[in-house]
Amino acid sequence: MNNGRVKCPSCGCDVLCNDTANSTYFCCVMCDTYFKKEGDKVAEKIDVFPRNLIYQPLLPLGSKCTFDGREFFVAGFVVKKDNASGVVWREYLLRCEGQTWYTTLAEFNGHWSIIDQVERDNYKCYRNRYDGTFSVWQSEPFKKFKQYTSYRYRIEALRGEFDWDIGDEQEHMFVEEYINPPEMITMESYRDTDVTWYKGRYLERTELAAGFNINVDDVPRSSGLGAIQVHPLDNQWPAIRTLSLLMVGLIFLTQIMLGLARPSKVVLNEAYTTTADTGAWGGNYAPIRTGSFQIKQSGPVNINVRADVSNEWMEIPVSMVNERTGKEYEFTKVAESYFGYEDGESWSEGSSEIEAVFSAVPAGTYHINMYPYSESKKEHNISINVESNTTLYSNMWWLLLLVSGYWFIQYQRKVLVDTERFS
Amino acid sequence: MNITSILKQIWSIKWQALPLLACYVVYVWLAWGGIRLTGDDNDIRNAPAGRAARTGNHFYHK
Repeated sequence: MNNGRVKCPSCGCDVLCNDTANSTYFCCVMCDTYFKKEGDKVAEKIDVFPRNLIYQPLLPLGSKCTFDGREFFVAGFVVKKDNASGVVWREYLLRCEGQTWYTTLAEFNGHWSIIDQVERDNYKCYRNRYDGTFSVWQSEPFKKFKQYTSYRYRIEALRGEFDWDIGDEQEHMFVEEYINPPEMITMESYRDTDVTWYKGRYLERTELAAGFNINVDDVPRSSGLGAIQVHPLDNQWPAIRTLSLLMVGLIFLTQIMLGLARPSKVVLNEAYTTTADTGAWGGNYAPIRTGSFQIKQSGPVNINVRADVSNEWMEIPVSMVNERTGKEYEFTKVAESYFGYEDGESWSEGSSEIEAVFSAVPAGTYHINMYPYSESKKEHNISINVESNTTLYSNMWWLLLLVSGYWFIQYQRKVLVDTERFS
Repeated sequence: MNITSILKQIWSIKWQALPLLACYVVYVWLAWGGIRLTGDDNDIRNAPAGRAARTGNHFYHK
């Protein structure tokens, strides 16, 4: 039995032993000697960690704290280093009476997390067959954790008391971490056989200070984004996704409803043949006047004109005239169609069809005047089709573009946050 | 997920949702009024003189 303190076998200093019933491994704060002291047996020196004064615990060994309604004391302090990346972080091992495992407070760049052992039954590890990444699925409540990192570590510094040979773990422990801020799942496999699962959550600086009953200003500020620190976008992202999907659905639904409420209708469909112009305005074809037609409801009007042009062009000024007010709606477009056979290949370009949309045309009686003009003097057939309340898709596409742009910008922001988190 | 939770979720980002909803209202207004956002093809209104002044010279050259 160790009685509150044990003697270091190297320097003879007293080493704290708060958990007298269980602690059997110790590391001297004065000379960094790691030793085993079991009951009344003679202390057995195991190793000496290199003295490195930069690794000093912020939270003193033996200090008391409260988290999640449990009272702890700081039993150990470990500085670990990822063998591959060289990343160094600190862990404080907290002991709670009646709890069989150590609760860990891990700190990296001022970001804190509190980690506890969990039953593995609630978790399953899956491999994505498409990108080869791994994830852990928590059953109750369902939550998916994304693979964050995996590593083997080395202990850089050690202080305190332990009930197992912590020094033996290094190099033999393979650790995998999965995150879903503000939580993480850690899977530790010792010598690739003995697997233990842990669950951690992000601990705000204020919560840590409150847990230790110290001034928050005594806890150094964090830098960068912590692995499981919640970024505002993490909380917003589901809402952004829902909003974007809802908007897209609403836009399509509105377009369908408007189409049903204001159905489009063909109000004029006629065909004409051009005749030589005897007038004085300069055209080579006589103007064409269509029959009158009714537009019963104010709205957009689509005019489609087709001319039988073949390897030639025809300019067609079109004027839709309100017979009551005399107001005209005009457009001028060119119907042109060219085709041929050159260098062993057939080619064609242009279109014999021209089309225009007039917005918000008031209800009334209208007719259309056309003033066709062409280089040739031959006869042409011209057909015209007028559709009232034509469906305006362009507004819908613009709004969809806006919603997509909003979603894309937010998605890029999320990618940047994830990049920072995983870097 | 019911409608209440969806609305609560969207309310949490109201300052992003409101401009989008305002755009949606404008879209409905434009669609109901038969107005095309990008303008229509009406070149000249009440300007027969422009047409009468044509000389027959064509802007298109192949």
